[in-house]
Amino acid sequence: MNSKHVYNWRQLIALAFVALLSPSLRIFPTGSVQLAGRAAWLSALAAGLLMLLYLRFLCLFLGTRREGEGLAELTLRALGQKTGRAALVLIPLWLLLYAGFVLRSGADRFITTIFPLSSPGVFTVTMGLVSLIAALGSARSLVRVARLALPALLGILLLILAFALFKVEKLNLLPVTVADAGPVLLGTLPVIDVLSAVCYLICFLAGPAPKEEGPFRSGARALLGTCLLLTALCVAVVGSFGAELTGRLTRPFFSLVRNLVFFNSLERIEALVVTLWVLPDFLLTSLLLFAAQFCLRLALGETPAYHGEKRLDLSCRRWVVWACAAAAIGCGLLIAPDPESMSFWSEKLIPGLNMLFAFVVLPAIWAAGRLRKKL
Amino acid sequence: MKKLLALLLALALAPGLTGCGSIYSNYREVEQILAVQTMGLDSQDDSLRLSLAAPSTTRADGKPVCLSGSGQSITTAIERVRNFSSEEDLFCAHINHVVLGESLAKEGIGDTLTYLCRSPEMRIDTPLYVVRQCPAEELMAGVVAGGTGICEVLDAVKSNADERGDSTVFTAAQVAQGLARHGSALICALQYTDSDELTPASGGESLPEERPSGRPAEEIQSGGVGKTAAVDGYAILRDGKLCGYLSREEAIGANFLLNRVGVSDLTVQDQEGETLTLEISQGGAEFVPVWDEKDGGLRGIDIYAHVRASVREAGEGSASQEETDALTGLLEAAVSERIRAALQSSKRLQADFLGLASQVELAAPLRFRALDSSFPELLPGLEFRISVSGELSHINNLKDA
Repeated sequence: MNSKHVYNWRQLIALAFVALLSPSLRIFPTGSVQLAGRAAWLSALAAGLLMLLYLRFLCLFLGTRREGEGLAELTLRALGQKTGRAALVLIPLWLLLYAGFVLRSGADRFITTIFPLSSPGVFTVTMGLVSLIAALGSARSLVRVARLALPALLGILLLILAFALFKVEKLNLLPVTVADAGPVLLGTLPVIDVLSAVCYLICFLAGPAPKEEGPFRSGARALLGTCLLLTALCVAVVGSFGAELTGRLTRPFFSLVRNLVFFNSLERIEALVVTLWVLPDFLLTSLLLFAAQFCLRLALGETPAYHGEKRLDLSCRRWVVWACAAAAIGCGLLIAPDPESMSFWSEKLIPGLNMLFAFVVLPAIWAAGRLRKKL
Repeated sequence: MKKLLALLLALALAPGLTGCGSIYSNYREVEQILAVQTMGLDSQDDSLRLSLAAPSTTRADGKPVCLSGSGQSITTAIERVRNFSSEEDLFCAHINHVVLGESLAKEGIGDTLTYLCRSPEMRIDTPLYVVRQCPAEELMAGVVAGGTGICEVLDAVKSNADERGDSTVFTAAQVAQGLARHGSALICALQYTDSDELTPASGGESLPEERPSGRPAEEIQSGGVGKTAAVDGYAILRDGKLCGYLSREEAIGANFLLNRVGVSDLTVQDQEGETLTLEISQGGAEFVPVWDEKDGGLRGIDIYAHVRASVREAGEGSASQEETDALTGLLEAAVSERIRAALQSSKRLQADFLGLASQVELAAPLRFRALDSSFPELLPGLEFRISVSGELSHINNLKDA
């Protein structure tokens, strides 16, 4: 493979981290608080331990890949040409639905936090088109953008958390007893949902990454670091607002940001933070579009790896990328027209389908490959 | 070449991103904006009376502004004020204080809290106040008519509360959280009074009739010279509705139980009838629930309060150990009395505005969760044993000088 389009696991992990910031602030910590109450701040830590098992599984799965293969190629090899191609047509349906939802929820975040009089269509279409441009290029551009965005987003997040921790009240977080173990485990569901999605999504981009590097160690480190960050986020939000109020707020993190006053002079920086969160939206949507078009083109018998084609080049069935973007944008415009359905999509449908794909479909593909001795 | 084109394109786009020009529909010059900093809310028949005040610094003539209007909801009232106002545009994103009239607080503040939590403009940690026996509109317009803006007055109230600590200004988030968790909450109470004659601390529990709200702002302004707003204890909310007040003295006791003690003054009389003023600098309380070992029920709470103070004003006395012990005893008795008064209000109203349930739960979570009745139901039957340990940091005795 051309070294211009090669990247490493460290870059992929950076992409995963930045991409997860988009869904994590949508359903976390509200989702965990609704399930675990005041003890929700332990959910991310508990989820980290469970996610290590899932990471182990993905590493086992990817360990069977040959040079240049990613999750899509592994699926084809595991299931055989016929079933594999069918699976590679079905998987993009989920990925594009998810991409459409990310576009819609990103627009919703803009409307509920900064532009209350706006229509979601503008944000959905704009972000969709920008993601299309990214998906038409090399995946390396995505991982490099992630590497560039990571320090900025992490810096802002840590700064906000540092100031927010001053507002934390002990009685909002304690007491936690053994009786809370069950609710805490339930509260891990939103965290597992978010983490599992980005974990398997970067596996679709694993092709150009060197095979010899074992991603488990670095992945586990990043995973636990992410869980610690999510724990700090939950402590800051629940510690400031209390579990009862947090469970009722749509976007408690941005409410927290709106409240912050820096050094008695700088305040109301939520617009800046919400705008920065465009980057995770962009990267997650592009990642989903890239994975979807890759699977579809592979199913159509093409070699979808990027070889430096121009963006308007439609050879090698690259029109599929445009079709995928159109489908995602269309989906984003059509789904969740009202707040009630948005809640349903955000809290039930998308997490449910994601968990189904991560914990049923992918293990089933792996098991089928092992049974057929193709992996 | 491509990089150059990209750079040129970026440079060409840059001017459009500065916010200058008329391409943005929401673009406004600063001079055209009236930056509202205080919102007042009153109930008026079937509608809501809204008052918006801006500080004097926002106007070229240096005069504070207060606008009023009615509507079925806060949003419609704001729109009405916006439409009928001669001001260019109202900017509500920097509202720092929300003042609630007593009548609205009696009817319930649930809708107000929902608005504050839901609005993309407002901050969820906006401080809330309840005006005792007065509509918010009257207070705001009256203070503005006196030449001092209500925004400046409330800024001073908030600043004093933050720095001194004899009162706490609770935010909308804290009130919403208290109501959701304990069913009760406290809000800083304001007294509308003559600026040169602040009335002494008023009684705690009574809820006298409020003066009618909804009078035109102009009418109020004409008679409001020399008026101001001052902190006057706490308003008690139960199930979202105003059910009573804590006087300033009781508020000191409440602050101990809430572990929010700051600098505050206590006036006591010694055995000779001499008046002494003590300045509390630190304090707080710890809670030990007392359980019935037979049925596992909650019998009461032992409260261990501690206080550190100094003598600010006193007659001549010796710096002997006996004198210091006597003063410490007076301090402990005064604090104990105020704590007891706050607890009595909580018991009488069956309102856990002091968050005692959380303290009991923190001390014994499993036993607390096994209780048959809710904590407010248990409150009237609970026995509170108060123990105060005081410490005089210095007595500022004349003979020492």
